Amino acid sequence: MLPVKIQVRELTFHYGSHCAIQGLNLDIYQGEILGLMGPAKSGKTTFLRVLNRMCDLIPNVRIQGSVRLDDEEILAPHYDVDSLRRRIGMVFAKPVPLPRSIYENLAFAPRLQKKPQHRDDLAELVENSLKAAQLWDEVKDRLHDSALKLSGGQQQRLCLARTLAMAPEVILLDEPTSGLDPISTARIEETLTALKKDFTIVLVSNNTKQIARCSDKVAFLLMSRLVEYGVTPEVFMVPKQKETDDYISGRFG
Amino acid sequence: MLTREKLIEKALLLLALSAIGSLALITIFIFLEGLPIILKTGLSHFIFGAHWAPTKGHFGILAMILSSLYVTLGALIFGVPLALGCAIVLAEFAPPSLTRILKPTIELLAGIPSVVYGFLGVILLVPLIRTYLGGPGLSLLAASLILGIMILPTVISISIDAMHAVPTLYREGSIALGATQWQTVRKLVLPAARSGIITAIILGMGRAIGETMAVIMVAGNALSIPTSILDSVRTLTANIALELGYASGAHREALFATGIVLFIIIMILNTAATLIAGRR
Repeated sequence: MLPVKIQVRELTFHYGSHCAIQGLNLDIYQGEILGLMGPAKSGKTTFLRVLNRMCDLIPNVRIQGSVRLDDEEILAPHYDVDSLRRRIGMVFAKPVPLPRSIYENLAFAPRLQKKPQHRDDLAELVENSLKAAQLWDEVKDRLHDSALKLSGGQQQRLCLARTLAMAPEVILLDEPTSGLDPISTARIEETLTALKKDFTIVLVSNNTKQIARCSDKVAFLLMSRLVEYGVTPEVFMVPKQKETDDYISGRFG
Repeated sequence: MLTREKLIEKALLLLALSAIGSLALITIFIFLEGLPIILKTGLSHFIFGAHWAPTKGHFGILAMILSSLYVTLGALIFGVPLALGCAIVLAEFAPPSLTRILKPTIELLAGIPSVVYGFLGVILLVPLIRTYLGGPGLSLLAASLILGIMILPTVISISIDAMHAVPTLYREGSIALGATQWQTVRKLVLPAARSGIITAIILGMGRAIGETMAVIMVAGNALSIPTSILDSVRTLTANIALELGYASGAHREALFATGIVLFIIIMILNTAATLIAGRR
């Protein structure tokens, strides 16, 4: 049994008066990919934003419950969110390279951490991160070109590489392949599978087949509630709840 | 109904052209009135001559050009850091509800008549400078401080717009990489909004160099090249406003020529602002 990396207990989240997550209990295990699926507005993205406290950027929100990372309460009022976000990286649905060169995008996070870094070490970190995200071969000759010139799939892998360069412990992916063609999607999925031995990954996707292919555990959210949670093959073969069955066989959502 | 449509279209076109036409007429008029004296005195004598005694036939405006530039530079030194700080707070740190109240309030500063700024300068600022720093009080420093305040609304509100134009997704991307809010502003938002901020500063410069009333009231208007910030100075605009009432003949032409110089400086600034704003 793998150790629990993140433990979520009775998490409830409100935007103003709208309840986005209702009493959520969930364990995320180290070295696994947790797939999170559910129709639009079911609370998936909100959940990711709570995990790295990006939800703090939105005015008028209310959080109750507990989220523990390595047994440390991250919802505590004076918790150091900047270092939390370095430990829990996030890749967004829409790839947003910073308006800089490919190299500078990768070097952004390491430079922020102000570790005394030798130029060669940084260059090596950039190279390793790009290799891990399977982008190195495509960009190695133009590291100093603008990152905005890359294709959509390349940009998304760049964002993944950028997150890896930060050396996080957990990676959150919010529909990372929603805007990509099947080949780029396949490359990202390969990358994720290769990465999971070193990282804990939470993958949100609208694509149930992707969840079935990539994830070890799966959680199904519907209308702000957790409906089903279990080992991926079991959930997809014999779902316990009727809603889950309907969702994965495409009867709604 | 097609004819009526056409008629309205033509009428609107006429109105639009009349606005541009008045600009053209002003330009032509200033140049017709001012150019002959520049040609007679010689361009370099006119611009680089330090001796201005129009009734005796000396038309050198160097002292005034330098005074205008110094006063403008001073206004930027005082105004820009204040304006940028204010813009950063309002665009990035203050809650949106506060920005919604404060931004229009700052824009109100632009609605205060310049004579009121000048008045406050004479009553409050000038005595302070005279008492604590020496000199006549009516000085380059006083003019710079007053203009520094007067350019605030222009620089602040255009800078805020420039920072708001930076996509929120960039900010989120940076924050998700562990950057603090200040690191995000410094490394991402400011560089991305750079051209807009430079435009804001240039437009502020244009406002400072063109301001007349407040400057006349606090600058002292002495005709010499300033050697200290406590010296009294006369800017190009002040010179025109002060002397036009009694000028005639060559003197009057020389004032128009001063106007040409001012006109060209402001044209250059505005063109620069347009070019920089267009380059994204």
